[in-house]
Amino acid sequence: MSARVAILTGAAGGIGRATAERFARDGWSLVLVDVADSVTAVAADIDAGAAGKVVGVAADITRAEALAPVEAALHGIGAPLKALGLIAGTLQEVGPVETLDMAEWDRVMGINVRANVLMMQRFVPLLRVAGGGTIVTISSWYGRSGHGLFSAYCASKAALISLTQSAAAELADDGIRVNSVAPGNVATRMHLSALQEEADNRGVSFEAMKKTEWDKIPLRRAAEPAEIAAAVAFLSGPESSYLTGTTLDVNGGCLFT
Amino acid sequence: MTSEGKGGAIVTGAARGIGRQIAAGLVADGYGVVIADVDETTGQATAEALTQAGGGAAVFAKVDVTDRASIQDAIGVCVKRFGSLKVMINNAGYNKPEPFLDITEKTWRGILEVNALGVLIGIQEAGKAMIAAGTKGKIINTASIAGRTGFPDFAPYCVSKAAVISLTQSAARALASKGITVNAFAPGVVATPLWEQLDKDLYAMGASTAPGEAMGSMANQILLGRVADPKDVVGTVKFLWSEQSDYMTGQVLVIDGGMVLQ
Repeated sequence: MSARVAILTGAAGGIGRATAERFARDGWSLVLVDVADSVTAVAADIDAGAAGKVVGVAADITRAEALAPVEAALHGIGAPLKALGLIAGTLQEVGPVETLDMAEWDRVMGINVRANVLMMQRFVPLLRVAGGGTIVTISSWYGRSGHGLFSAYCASKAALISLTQSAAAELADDGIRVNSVAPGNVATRMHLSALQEEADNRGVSFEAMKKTEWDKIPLRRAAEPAEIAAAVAFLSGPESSYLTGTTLDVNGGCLFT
Repeated sequence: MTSEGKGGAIVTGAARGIGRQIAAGLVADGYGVVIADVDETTGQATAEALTQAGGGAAVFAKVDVTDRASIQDAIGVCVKRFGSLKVMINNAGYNKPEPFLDITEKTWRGILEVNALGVLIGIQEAGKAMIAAGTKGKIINTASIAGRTGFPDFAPYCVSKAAVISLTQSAARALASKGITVNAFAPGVVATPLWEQLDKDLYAMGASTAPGEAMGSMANQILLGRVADPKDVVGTVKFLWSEQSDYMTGQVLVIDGGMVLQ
């Protein structure tokens, strides 16, 4: 297989790291991006066992100027950019719309929406130069409908689904397919600590809280990060060649769309 | 890889069109595949061609999906020949356009019988066989973008495909605890015998002014700029039968080149 590079954001987190491992196994070279400095250690770790080259860049992708080192790392690898995996995301501080801190609103929108627009603006020209490629965003089943106390998060993920469709419409002629994966609950640190927090709020055990939540899911468990990574890999590969603008619901059956 | 390598699969309506391509994909992936179809001549030829292509193997079974006994027989053939039923693809279906005000009871009943009841029977019988064998199987149903939105000139087909989506969701809830997942895929406009006939019928009906026009006007709405080849759906269906989609159930994957964006 000829050399090809993917840029993955949020690569130090649960889904991001699993996706990086999956892509590395599939022969991709990677630029791994995360706001956390630990991304360079993650990259070094994955690079050690990979056929391609894996480089980590710590960057706050909500700022356009922070993307320069990401692009520099890409050029350093020296192979065409064929995929963007826009995985970085954040939860919100839980609370009602009425009293929502607007700084929190802006933070959530900044990471979950704005950063993805900035990434597209910066890297779509390079996908075009490479003769086309794929963009995969990570939305959420919470972007499929609104939920109380999660207004910023739900709105940001709904916006991301819409952004995915608009970009798909604009970029189809360039051979760039744009799709989204909408996970349900995923057994990441983000999800498990949210369960712990809710358990503490209700004064119940972590296991009881987990059972309460997971019993709502027909498959009775949260996804493994690798299962979300598998969907990202599918949407970034040739077997999804006729899919664009779609949102793939990988949620164990917790929501049917 | 031997023909028993990955176990058995059944594809209904596999003699031609999308079903044939899915069966070919399963064989290439190492499955033993039962080509279940009402058309014996074409079905036999398809089974032979796919077996020669290599990978797994294909056998023909004459199946009318509205006849429960014939589905049970096909499952029997699959288990006997390939050792198991791992993947059930309920794909058989047909369309017959009629202007909305002229839809007859006969057309309605005929289409609903095959496209909806046939899928119910297929899910039920596959589900029972998988439960009995303790197989964490994959059931995949062929829906359509016509199940997401109604079209004026083939309402019974739209209804039947909405039914497929609904059956997919009900079955997903019913079978999740057994480790069986049930998903659907929804093709858009695909260059298959079904669509070629539909295009001809719409022209004969006066719903289009030239052959190829009905299909062409649909294609204009597709972001990727072309109607699908049957092969275009195989990658997505393969994703659904592979362990890559183990956390998906009750979902409908639209494969339309970007038409409805749902």
